[in-house]
Amino acid sequence: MPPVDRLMENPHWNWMIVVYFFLGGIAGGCAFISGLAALFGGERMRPVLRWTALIPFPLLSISGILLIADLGRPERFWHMMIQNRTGWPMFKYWSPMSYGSWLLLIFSGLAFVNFVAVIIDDRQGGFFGRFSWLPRLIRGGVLGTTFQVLLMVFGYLFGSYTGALVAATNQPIWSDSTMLGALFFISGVSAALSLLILLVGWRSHDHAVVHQLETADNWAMLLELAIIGLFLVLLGGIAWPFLRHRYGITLLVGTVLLGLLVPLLLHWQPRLLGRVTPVLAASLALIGGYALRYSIVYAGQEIPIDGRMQG
Amino acid sequence: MAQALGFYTDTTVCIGCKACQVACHQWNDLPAELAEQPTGPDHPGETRPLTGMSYDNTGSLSDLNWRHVKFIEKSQASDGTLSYLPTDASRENLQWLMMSDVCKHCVQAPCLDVCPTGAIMRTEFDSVYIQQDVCNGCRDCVAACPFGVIHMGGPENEGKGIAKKCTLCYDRLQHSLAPACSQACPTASIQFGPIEELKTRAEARVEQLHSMGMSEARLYGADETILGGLNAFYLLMDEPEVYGLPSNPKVPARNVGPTNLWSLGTAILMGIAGLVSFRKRRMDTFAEQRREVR
Repeated sequence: MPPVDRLMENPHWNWMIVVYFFLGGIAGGCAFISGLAALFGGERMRPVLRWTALIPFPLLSISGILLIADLGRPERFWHMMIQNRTGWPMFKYWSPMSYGSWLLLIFSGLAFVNFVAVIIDDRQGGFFGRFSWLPRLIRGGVLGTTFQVLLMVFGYLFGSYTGALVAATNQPIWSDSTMLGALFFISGVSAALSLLILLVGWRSHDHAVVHQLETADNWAMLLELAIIGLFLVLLGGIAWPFLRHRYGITLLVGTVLLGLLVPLLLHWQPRLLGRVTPVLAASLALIGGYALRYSIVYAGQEIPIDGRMQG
Repeated sequence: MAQALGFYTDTTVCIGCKACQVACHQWNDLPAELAEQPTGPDHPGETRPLTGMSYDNTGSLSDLNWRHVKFIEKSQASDGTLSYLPTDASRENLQWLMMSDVCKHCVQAPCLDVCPTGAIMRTEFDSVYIQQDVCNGCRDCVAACPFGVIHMGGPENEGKGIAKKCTLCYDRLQHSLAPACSQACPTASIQFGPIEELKTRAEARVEQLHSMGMSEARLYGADETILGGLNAFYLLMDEPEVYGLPSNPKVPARNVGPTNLWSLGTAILMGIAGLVSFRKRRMDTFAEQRREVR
């Protein structure tokens, strides 16, 4: 193959997008777990539900700010949802960035309601007392169940759309696999479970709950390992140049080894490093989740593969 | 819609004069952009007119260069080894391959597909046009374009980028004028007109070249195999990759369905795993066991 002039231009999706993918993944994962815990976990899951209500909205707020700041013309962010010439909604179901904008908006709304309900619960009386109907409305009965299912579905959709976003391009690696949606989703769930293990373990002494979170996290991490394997297999011939590059090494060392295998070992041997073991396992899993986004986002833009990129 | 209009570029008659680039700059009021300059004491000044890589002085398409004439230096050694590197000192039998590159105005345009604001639209002439007052600079189109055509920038945005590329001189078309580049081309390498008419002309030219023994002549983007057809298609004298053109560019939306299916499968599996992990009875049993251990 002769050397070629530049084929693909680099979109320069930088650290703001990496952080957005990471925080958004945790927010989506939290909502997904919230639904599972509310529907199947019973009363004992209350501390988990409290955190899964508190975490997503602030993360989504930061995500929104990062996304707007990353635009070439931030003041036009609303063009994603409203056609500036007609005032009609802007929506393309076949464009992940288009439907992702709507997902962010709707999911943020649901997360806001869930967040406010916990604040009202915590500060009964006074100004907040006037809204005491809200927590009751979204916590029990048919409406409560519907709300949790909606939250869970939007958490899943939001947690996975970022993978579809990068896959719907012509960039090397990103567009060479259809596994990135699944990978980003399951990594978000694993990161959310790790964060919950840290927070629930810190504020509550219900070991049964922490143990159940660890059990779920083990499943998530095993699924993530399997999906990373499938992702690399489906990359075919370009997997090797990717893995040899520093971004591939980041995936192998940062995500697979430190973020998945070591936490799995620490969950399996919880007394291996004494009291610090669960904290270390959860912290490493979170770092692994960030390393995954960092690796994939930059690999698709900077690794020269098949002459498609010149870096 | 009016009939589809576009370019047929016959690279065999391109002489690399860059009149198309100049005309594009003039009509679209694009300032000159000099390619990256060598620095250091041996390279005084900031404005060397050539890149040092052949006779190219703009390097690639950019936010200010909506046309770019490529100078590909192909050489073949006596043992048959091909070389395309201008820096290769052992070159023999040098052959120029020149090509005026531009937006392909694809029938299934990836940039238009993914654009979340509707800034990228299809005109009544079947060309692909970016509405500058709508684009918000998300750069999804940059990642989607398989030809590396779209760049961010523009002096009117004070460095804050929005998407820029060839407009197929939409303003001129609306007044029944040919695009500036094709009008300026002195050798008719860039031909403008109704796509169907151009295709007929291009096929006849390929036949002529084949009859002259130039069997390597081929059309790129004239049929529907590449993104449904390119409204700026080419007659090439070598593999597309030699000219920096992908042989099989893809429509980005092809990945959305399968990606979402894999995600859904994973969510179902994780849902089952969560159900098993969070079951109330299982949790109560575990708590009970812990109490007994104590």
